Amino acid sequence: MNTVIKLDQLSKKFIARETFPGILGSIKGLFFGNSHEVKAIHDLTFEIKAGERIAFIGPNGAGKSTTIKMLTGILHPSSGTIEVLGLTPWKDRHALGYKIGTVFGQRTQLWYHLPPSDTFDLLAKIYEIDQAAYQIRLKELVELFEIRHLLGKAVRQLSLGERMRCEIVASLLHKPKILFLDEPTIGLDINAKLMIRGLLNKLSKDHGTTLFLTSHDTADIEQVCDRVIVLDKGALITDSSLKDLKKMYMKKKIMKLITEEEQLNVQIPGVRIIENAQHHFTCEVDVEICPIDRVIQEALKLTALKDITIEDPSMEEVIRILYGTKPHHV
Amino acid sequence: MFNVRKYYAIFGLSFHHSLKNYKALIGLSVFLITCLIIFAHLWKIAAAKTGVVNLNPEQLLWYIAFNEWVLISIPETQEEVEEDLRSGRLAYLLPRPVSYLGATLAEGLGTLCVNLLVLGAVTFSFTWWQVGSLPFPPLGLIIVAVLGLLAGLLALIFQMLIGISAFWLQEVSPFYWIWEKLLFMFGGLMLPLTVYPQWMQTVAYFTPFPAILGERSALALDFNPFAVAGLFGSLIGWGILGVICLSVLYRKGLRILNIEGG
Repeated sequence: MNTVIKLDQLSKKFIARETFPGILGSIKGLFFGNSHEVKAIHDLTFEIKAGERIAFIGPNGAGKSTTIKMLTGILHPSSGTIEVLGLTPWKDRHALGYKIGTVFGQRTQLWYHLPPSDTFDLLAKIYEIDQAAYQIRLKELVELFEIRHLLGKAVRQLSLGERMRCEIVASLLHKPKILFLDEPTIGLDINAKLMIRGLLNKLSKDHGTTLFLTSHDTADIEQVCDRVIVLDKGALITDSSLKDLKKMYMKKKIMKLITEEEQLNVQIPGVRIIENAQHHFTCEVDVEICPIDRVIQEALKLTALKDITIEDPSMEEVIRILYGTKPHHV
Repeated sequence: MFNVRKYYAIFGLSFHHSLKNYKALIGLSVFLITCLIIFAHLWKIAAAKTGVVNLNPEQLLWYIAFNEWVLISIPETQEEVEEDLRSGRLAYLLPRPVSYLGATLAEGLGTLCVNLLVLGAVTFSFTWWQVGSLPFPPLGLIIVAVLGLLAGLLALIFQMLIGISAFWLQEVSPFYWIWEKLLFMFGGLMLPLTVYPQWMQTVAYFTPFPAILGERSALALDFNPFAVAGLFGSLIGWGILGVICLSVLYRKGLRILNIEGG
């Protein structure tokens, strides 16, 4: 697979101006305000291959937006190199614009009082898409995203989920090789979220589009992405496949037993009882201290088991642990 | 490369969008008529009681109508630019293969044209109904319409300049407030500039305000080819200056974005 994004020792520094509280402080700031350098991104290095589905995550202020702005050519790096689809974004922003797409959950590019098809027509002109090619592409996307019935409705009449489907179609008309998505499911209901995630998966599989997703919704990451890059305080914390990440961090399992006996009294190191109600026993097992089969064996010594369920901790839990990890450089 | 067709498409869609937003147009029309009714009465009383200004109240109504027509038609583009800058939306618009300034101007122009057409019809109908005659030959109406469009465009450019200042100021509404008040005063919104003290007239003619409002509307008082030619020159000159300032400040603003972050 080709490398579509390549970052090497990428750093970005900003100048932050000191502000003082109060009205007098504001006046003081005009004359005596000091400025200092803030390292927003330091020594970020990673590569992304064509067709990968990347979750680019981190707590607020981690430097995600700054990195995306450098990837899309809006900001220049202070040092290091950056290459997107063979172009240097800050030098070739215009050319890059034709090759990438952006979807931002909280910002719309659709015209509020007009049907989405009008925005699509406009974007076809902005991206200089040949009329015949545009019609074919539009037909393809309309079918994929199931929006035929929405094409003639004013955007203001669409639900959030419908609007987001149209937003994504708008961003894909020019066949971008990389799609940057920022919180694409924010504010959507469960069904709409599921639909958007399914469609993004389909898009990636059928068209090979590289997805670069930023989201605070762990289900977006779990259901769409195959690789997770975690950033904190401007530095890389983790860059691993979703599978490895789960393996690495999911050392605890949640075990639910339905027992013959009313109560189950299991006292084993590494096992924390969460619930011990009538015939229902739930515990958290640290598999590094106590293997799962040992818990089952111990339980079977005390009672017959009607049912066993073993669950991984949620992705949310993994992310919470990751956010508490110190960056590599610190 | 600058592709005019892209901006024409944005202008077209903005025009269409503004037409669909007919409720806003109704609101603006009601506001315009209210202003005209108030000013028409004000001028009748002022002319009858004080005789402060030796001008025909009917001509003055046309004067105010031409002023209000353009003033109310100008879209609040500075608010959109400020919002794009403050919310960070600009960062997501920049990767598109279209100039942000060009797209914003084309969009604003689309709205301006719809407003000028609809409010122009309202203004003309109301004032004609009140006065019963035109203050100049019918051909003058076309000239005034073209000048109105250029004046609106000039105001749009300057309002975009105010919006762009959000790169430095973050909050531009106080500066828009000052701009608006200067426009009312030096633009001669309620009184023709000729009745101002000489020093104020001198100051006013060093600003773009008379070209946007009073100088153009004064054609209702004295329609002559020299005034028309001077006005075209003034509007184009200020427009070129505005575009240059806009372009320079925008580039400087992007540099700030790069140095201080978004």
